[in-house]
Amino acid sequence: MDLLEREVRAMLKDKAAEMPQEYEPSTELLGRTSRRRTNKVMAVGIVSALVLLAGVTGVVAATRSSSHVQVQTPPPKPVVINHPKPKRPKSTPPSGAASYVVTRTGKIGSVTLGASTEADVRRALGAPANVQVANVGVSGYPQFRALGYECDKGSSSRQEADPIQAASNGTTCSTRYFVNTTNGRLVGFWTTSSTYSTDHGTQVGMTAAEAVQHEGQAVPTIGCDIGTMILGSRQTGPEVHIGIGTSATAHVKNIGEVAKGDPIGLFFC
Amino acid sequence: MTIPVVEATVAPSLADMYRAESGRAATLAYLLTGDRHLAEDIVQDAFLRVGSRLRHVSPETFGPYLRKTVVNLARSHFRRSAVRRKHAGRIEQEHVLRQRAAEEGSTDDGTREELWRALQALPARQRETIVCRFYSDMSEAETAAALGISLGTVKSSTSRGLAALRAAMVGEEQ
Repeated sequence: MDLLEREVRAMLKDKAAEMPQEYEPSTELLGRTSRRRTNKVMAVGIVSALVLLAGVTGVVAATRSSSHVQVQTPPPKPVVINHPKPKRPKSTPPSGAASYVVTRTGKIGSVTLGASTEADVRRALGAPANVQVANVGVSGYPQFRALGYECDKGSSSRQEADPIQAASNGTTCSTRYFVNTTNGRLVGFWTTSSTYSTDHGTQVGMTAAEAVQHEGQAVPTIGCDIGTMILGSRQTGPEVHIGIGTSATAHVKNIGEVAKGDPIGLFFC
Repeated sequence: MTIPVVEATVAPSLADMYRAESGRAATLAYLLTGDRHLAEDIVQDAFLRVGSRLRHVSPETFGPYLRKTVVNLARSHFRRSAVRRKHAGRIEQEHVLRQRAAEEGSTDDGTREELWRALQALPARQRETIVCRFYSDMSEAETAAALGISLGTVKSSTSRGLAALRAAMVGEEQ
């Protein structure tokens, strides 16, 4: 270690000592987070009431004033449509070929990140079962429309999987397509369904070892993206995320992809 | 794992997490920004953001995730010109005060103040890599993961940062 490096370390240590080593959580911090919980409970009640009304009018419009999330379902569809969904294997790789291929160049089946629109998604997949307008809650990122497919209500096993489940009044979807509301382009995708696979053959339900073999890269064990295999770089093009985890018995849990630059901050980390 | 989550239920352990991690996080923010008040604001903001995602962040990844959020927030604060101007004013004030203190104090203190000033003048990427490597004692790989950059960028940014600090210190001596 040279002299300068030693000096830099000593200087940083000195400066670090100027800061308190521990802070007490402020009432603002705890208050704001508990208010979020309260608001969430209130919003669930409000949205439930509106859902009942929707049975008569076919229209639901719900707004949560204190959070970043608005729930919208286009008329005349009901809020939730229970589509038949494929069973997800628990410990064995899925059998059979996937219906849709997710490529590192941004193709998801017949639609393309950064180019396709909501209309293109609807043409390819039909009307979504659930539509929500939300944002990631980080300043600088615009709102998006999340088109949900294979949705149901009250499935606790899927609650962790749907990236916007907390905003959806208990409705969870196994697949979401995200459209940037500022330009109408498809910019994100997320699935826990084994009907999708990467162009190298990785599917939800496969073991971590198989995913590593298919994709030819390791799963990070440190940092913000721990447990997520990342293909490509959002700085130069589309970026695929394969959520696996780090346990010895980990399996592929989800596959997602964002357009170049991750315009809506879906993979903000 | 990236956390593409809009909002989630806050786990009851947020207060404990705050007590355990806030000191280190605030110090990291301070070393990155050079402004104590801004650092504390950043940590508060980071906790609000990470806290809302606690359900999706395991205890072992909470610290790294928090630190990455702190780094990102420090970057975004610097991008805003108004904040930057305000920050520059504070830094200038602090610098004047510290310079006076340094002049009255020992040579070591003076050198470290100059080094601190030089660190704050570095481009953000170089400052981040130096703080991660030499304060947080992260390896090059850990720094790359924490900052979301390649190993090569960590090496080059650290090397350039140290070279710039060396040049600044030599300049000061002359």
